[in-house]
Amino acid sequence: MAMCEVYDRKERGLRGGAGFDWRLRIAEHLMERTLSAAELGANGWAVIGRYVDTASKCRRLLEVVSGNRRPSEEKAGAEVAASVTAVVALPSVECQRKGWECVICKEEIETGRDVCVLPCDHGFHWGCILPWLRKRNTCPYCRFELPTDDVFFEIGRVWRCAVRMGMGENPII
Amino acid sequence: MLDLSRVQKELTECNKDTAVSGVTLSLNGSDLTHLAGTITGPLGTPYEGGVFHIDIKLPSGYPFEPPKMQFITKVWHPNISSQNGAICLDILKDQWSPALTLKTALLSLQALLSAPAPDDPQDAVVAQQYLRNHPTFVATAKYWTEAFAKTASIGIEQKVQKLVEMGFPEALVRSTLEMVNGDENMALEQLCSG
Ligand SMILES: [Zn+2]
Ligand SMILES: [Zn+2]
Repeated sequence: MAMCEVYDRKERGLRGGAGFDWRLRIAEHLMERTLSAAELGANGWAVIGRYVDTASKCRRLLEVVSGNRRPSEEKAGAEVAASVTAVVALPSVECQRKGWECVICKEEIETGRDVCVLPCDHGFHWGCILPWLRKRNTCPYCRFELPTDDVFFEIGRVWRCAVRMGMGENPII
Repeated sequence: MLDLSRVQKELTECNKDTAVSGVTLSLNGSDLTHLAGTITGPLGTPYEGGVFHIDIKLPSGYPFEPPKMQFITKVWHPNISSQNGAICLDILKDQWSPALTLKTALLSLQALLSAPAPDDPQDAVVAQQYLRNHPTFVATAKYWTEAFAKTASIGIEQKVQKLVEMGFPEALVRSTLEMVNGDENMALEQLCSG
């Protein structure tokens, strides 16, 4: 529900013009804040070391607080919604080519229609992708992960990322 | 909430190339939330030659929630319950995506028949057998395919012969088959349990 409201506001902002700057500024600020974990892959060990440190501390703390549940394992693959702020920041692009199918409803997207484009460059009808992002933080097409508002999940994500780097694999999740 | 036009589309789409894909999808009456699927057993596996019927129920949140699929045809496989046909497959659970379709899900089931994952079993007994006594697993899976997934019905003598080949004493096989009115499934269950 919250996300629908946000989406409505965003739409009005885009169409009205006056609201556009307001939206952009908030979006930039929130992107900076929420996407910081997603930049991990590019920066190598110097940066990741700090994250790992923080993550393992947080993890231990959370394990203690939550009575020894292991948050990273529990949340891996669980249903976690995409962060509302990250969804607000998603760009809306006008469909300009023919034959572009929205894989959610399996309909062709009409040219001129506003399309939601995820960071992985996959586009969907806004009406089709929003109900999904309210359930899960992944791209339906390639499983690219958007940030979430779930602390446990984000710590788990950093943890899995670090484990992959430690094993010499590509850390991008 | 259920996207009916998408379901209609999927039905048409899936049945375009059933001969090539080996999977079919059909309506179960007039209710679009209850469908029936079939998959052919992959070549070179113990399931070869069999046709497996799948019960498909669509939750109201489909395609944002995965379809509920279950084998109706009895099958001997580490990731499928030999009791009730329940399936352990990630894309039917947390790895579902609305980009997937009923057809891709059925094709995944076919792939699962080709490549069991005994480390993540649905049926622990079958998985144990798969890992520890593979020849027996293959023989049992083949027998189940013969007995349950081949449409041509077979005579009582053949049923007796098959069950005897499985290692049950002939007299017991005959009396058990008689007791369950010739129903092989039930006879095998009785023989296995008792
Ligand atoms: Zn769509
Ligand atoms: Zn994508």
